[in-house]
Amino acid sequence: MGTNIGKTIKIKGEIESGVEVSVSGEISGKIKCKEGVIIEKDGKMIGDIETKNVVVHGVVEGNMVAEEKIELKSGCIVKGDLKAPRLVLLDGAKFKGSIDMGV
Amino acid sequence: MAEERIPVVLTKEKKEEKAETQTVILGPTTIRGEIQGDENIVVEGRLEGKIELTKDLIVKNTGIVKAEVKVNNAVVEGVVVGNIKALEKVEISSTGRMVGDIYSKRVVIQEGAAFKGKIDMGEEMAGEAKAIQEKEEKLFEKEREEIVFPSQGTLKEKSTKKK
Repeated sequence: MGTNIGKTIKIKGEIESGVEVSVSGEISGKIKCKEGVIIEKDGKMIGDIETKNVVVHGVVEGNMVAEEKIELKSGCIVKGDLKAPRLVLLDGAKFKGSIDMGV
Repeated sequence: MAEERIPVVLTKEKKEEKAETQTVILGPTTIRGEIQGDENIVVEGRLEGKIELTKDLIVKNTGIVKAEVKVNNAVVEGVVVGNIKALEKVEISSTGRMVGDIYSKRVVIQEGAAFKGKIDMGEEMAGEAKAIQEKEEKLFEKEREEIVFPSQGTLKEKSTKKK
């Protein structure tokens, strides 16, 4: 159990965390997290994410940089540039942007 | 059969209630900015900026909130710096520390709590209450007049009839 942003919550601003952050609400701003970030099905993130692991079920408009892995699950909508050594793009995920796996 | 069905319905309702999400901001987490929502927020980490909720804000022991707060209920077990406007109640528990003003109908400060600031429990409400009282008094007077005069009239009529 990490920090949880609920469905009805809207945040304009920055989030900095040392534990996993799961987002079911709407955030416009920045997330910096030492652990993982999960954008849940109802979650919407407008802005950049900087973390270790990202899992996206919902909507992200912004750039993502992960130290380990980015996973775009089916049903997600992502617009932005991704940078991570490992990346998974599942069938049914919508994505527009560039990917840099450090090759 | 009917007795069996009733508890099933109840458990379903309970499950739905539990399924309502609650926002928890844990210890190593900091949020800076504007926050809006229709659910309870539990703060064990740090919140800075503006908070507007239609439900409750609970600041736990380890929680630090530096913000303008507008909520339904606020419970301060940690640290709050900033003003709190609550529709119902603000409670500063024994471990709570707060610097700022409180605008709320009901305010509880428990023994051991630290607080510096103003508390306004609603002079406007008191004003409204006075206005209501005055209105009621006027109504009573009117009623009295209405009661008194016709009865006198009837008395006079009766008296004239008797004559």
